[in-house]
Amino acid sequence: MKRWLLGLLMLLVITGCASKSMDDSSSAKTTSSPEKMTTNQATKQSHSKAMLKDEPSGIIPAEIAIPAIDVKAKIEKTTLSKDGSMGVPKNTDNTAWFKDGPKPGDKGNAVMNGHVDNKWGPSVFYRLKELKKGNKVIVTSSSGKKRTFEVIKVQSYPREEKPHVFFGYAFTRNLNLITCTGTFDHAAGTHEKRLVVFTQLISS
Amino acid sequence: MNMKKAILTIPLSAALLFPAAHSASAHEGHMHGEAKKTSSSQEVSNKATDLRAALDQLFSEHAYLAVITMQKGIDGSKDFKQAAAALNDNTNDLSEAIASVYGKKAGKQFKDIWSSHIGYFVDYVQATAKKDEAGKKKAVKQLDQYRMKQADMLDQATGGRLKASELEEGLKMHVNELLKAFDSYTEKDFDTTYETVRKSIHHMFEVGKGVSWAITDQFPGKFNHKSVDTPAADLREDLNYLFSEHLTLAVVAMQKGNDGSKDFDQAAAALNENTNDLSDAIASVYGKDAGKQFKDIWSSHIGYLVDYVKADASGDKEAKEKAVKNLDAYRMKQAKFLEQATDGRLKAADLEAGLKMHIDELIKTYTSYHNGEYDQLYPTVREAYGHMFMVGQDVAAAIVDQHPELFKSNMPNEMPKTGMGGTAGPLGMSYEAFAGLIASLILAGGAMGAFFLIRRKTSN
Repeated sequence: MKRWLLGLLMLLVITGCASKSMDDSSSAKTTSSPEKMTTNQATKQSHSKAMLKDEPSGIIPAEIAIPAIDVKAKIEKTTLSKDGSMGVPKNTDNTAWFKDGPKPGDKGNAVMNGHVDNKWGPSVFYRLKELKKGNKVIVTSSSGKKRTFEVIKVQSYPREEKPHVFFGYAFTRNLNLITCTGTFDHAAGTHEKRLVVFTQLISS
Repeated sequence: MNMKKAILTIPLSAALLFPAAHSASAHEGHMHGEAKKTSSSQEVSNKATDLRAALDQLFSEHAYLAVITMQKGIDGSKDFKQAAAALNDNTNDLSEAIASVYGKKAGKQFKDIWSSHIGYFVDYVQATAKKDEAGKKKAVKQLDQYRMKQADMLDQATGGRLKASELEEGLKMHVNELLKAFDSYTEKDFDTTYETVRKSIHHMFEVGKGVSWAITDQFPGKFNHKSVDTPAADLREDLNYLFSEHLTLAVVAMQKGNDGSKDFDQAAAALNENTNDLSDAIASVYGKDAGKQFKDIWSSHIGYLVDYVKADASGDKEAKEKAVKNLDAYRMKQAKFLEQATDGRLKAADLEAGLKMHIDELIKTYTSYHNGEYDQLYPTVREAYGHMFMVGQDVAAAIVDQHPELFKSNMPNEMPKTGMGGTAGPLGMSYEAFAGLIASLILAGGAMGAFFLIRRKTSN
């Protein structure tokens, strides 16, 4: 009988570990509210009006904050993966910035992606679909420089959509956030849709 | 001004009208970007990149004609009227292009606003001639107001794609450059003049890219969902810029040479700088030796045209005939070089024919200027200018076809894999997590049961 009890206790401990990793993944969404920037602060810290058109105003992003959905995450750098898609963050708690494209704040489409979920549960961009026009996205460099963006549009696309429109050249200073959405296709191992949040730099 | 109605009246064809289109029949036997493509990013010619090139042509031509019209204005040149008329023809073509996308009303509105800024530059030139400082200040103020108006109109028409605040900055740079090119010319600081002229023309190609991006982003279906932003399109733009700038500087240099103008040296120097840039572009694809060889051959034809002008001015018939013979020999040499370099993609016969047209046009523009026959002068200049864009397209197509690996896009061609299905099982959890939850519940229940069992046993 005691051996039976011991076996039970061990099983309890093992499943406890599983529950713990579930807790870990859900703690990717921060519960503490990040610093909210006032509009004045945002406009002062974005490029000044006297700046020439040709002068870049982008920063290498290190951290992203989206107050409306309680997101605060680190940003990895990524590039093209072997299959021709944009690379994804190694750590699913982080987001990834496409380093071969424009920097957030420069003219053009800066792009970042993040997981909607990992194997155990929700991930950093799980609530991205809740974003609405006007919500703010704040990107900070490792030296503390900030760029604030405003959501323009939130749209989902089938996963076969050609992404070149979201990348590369644009006349405006954009930051596009991509994650998965829609039904998860177990056979294909990926979600059926992609969610793209289009944001634009707020300038004075 | 509500632009939404204008957008709804888009005609089915987004065909842009510009003079070069009329002489299409004269170009039989020329290939225009029909090289086989391996992917969209390696297409030199498609609806989007063609739009970009067409706008590049109109915008850069505008800057070039504005510069020379202002010079002729202050110089009181005999062909000032004709140069100004050419500038207006360019405005008409640009307005028609806008109308072909946004409707007649928008085209007219664009034309009015655009024409106003040309008018303010004319005011500036006239005030300068009269040494009227107040007049100059007034013109600059009006140009500032124009900036806001033009930016606002384009922001609205493109649904915010050409953002007004960005446009205002760009227009400020344009206005300042044109004023600088003119002021330095009147102050006889000709080094600054031609340095600024080259810069201001080059910047118009960024305008072309921006406007074509906005239009193709706004009406993707009309342009087969193609992008203006590809390595192949960028190559075509670079070559278009260098070839067309060559033409403008050649015409300017030949006129200055004819007139014995004080800025002939600087104009000729700018022409040589253009040759260097063009040779560097060739070298970047074909290597240093090829670049040097190209430069030697290319420079020779500029030299022979200078010989022609000199011989004509001094009435030396023999020297003139020699120059013509040398130009002919050049044609064959240049054509052969390009055919060999591109492994037969550019055919020598086609190139010889095209070069003949180019040389004939240059001589025609020179002769009519020299003889004071100004009516056909600038229409010919405009046509010759447009031809350089066909050269750019053909050469770009050959290069991309020959070295497609250099023109691969570094943009993703597939959406990222940003999901693993962890919230796709029951209760929004992954199957693994759900199974773990059930297991924990069963074991917890089992543990509770075992606990009570033991208690009961011990209490017995």
